[in-house]
Amino acid sequence: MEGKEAKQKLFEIFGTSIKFNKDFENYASKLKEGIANGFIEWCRRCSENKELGSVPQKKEFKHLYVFFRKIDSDIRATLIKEQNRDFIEIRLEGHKGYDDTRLNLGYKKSSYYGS
Amino acid sequence: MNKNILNIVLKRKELFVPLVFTDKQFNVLGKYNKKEKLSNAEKKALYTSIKKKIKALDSFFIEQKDREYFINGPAEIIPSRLIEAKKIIDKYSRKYDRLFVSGSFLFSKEFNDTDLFIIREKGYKEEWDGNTHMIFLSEKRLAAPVFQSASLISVANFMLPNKINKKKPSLSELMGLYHEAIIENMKEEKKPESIRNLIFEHALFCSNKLLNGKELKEMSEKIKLDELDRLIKELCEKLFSETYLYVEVHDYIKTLNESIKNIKPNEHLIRFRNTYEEMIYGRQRSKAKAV
Repeated sequence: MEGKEAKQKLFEIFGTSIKFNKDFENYASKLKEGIANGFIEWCRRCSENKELGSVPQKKEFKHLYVFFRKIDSDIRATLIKEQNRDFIEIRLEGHKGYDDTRLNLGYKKSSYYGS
Repeated sequence: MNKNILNIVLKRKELFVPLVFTDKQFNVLGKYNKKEKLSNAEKKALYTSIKKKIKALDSFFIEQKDREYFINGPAEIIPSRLIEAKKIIDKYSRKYDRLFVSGSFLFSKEFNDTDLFIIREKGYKEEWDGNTHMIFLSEKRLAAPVFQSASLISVANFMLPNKINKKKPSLSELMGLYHEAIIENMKEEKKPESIRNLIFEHALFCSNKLLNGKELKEMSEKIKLDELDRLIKELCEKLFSETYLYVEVHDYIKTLNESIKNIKPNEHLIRFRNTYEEMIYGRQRSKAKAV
């Protein structure tokens, strides 16, 4: 799936105010069709309150609700919404970027191996 | 350049000079080994002649090394997989110096891929070669518990160092890990990374035990929600002071109470709150009873 096409589908789900990380299109374009569709479906389920997320322990982020998901062997997604409000950001990243996102929100680094 | 070969040559000058290397070439090898600056002429000698000779010597070393395997946890390894693992080691030994095969490929009938760990000087990266998941890591990183655990059931072409670098996780990291573990369990995740990590950390810090991949797989498949609650409570009580836990967790319970009102479905959040309340108030209650 082309990165732009994935973005368009996510705009339809979350509205046009959703933000993407810089490399989003690059990672989205690496996904095979089936995996890309699974990713979009997961986003849809999150927007319909069918997935479970968590509330960051860091005080500055306590108003957020965060969903993490392994999308492909080396691609991870983070979806962030404000509680009782809109989804604000979606990130598709490799291990390093994903770790940085997790650490920033106060979560443990992923273990890489075994993940 | 293969460091083992280089060291052998440098230690046994009389065997190699002048039959294989000239005196000048030997000096260049010495400087290269000490990472000293080389002149242009020395660099030219290194790349046009010396490295090629070392590579030729390396081919003898590889032939020799192919016949040597270090098997860890042999009782857990499926015999046919041991043969396969040796073939993988042979294949990649031609290109890489130190490596080992590990993961469910060795001990589980069902597996997705073969994990091949390759030790290099620095940096971490992962690559795929067909169904082989290649994990490049430094020797320093090999000391991390997750890789030491992987090495417990493994086939290697070198003696794996048995040293572990235990780093205490932060409270925030552990709480996040617990939350993700509960979510994985509720969703019946097929490959529950966080459940495995929580079980692993608990065994490491509460029982001082390093679990191998097979134990982790079996335990993570069987574990129930109540047990995950118990693991996080025991871990936190083991690693953090009562006062610190009270202050940090008390605040987070307030956050959770707010979030429970805002978020649906919220059964996981209610579970977190109950666990944390038990963790900090349960301790106080049991203390009060004792008084």
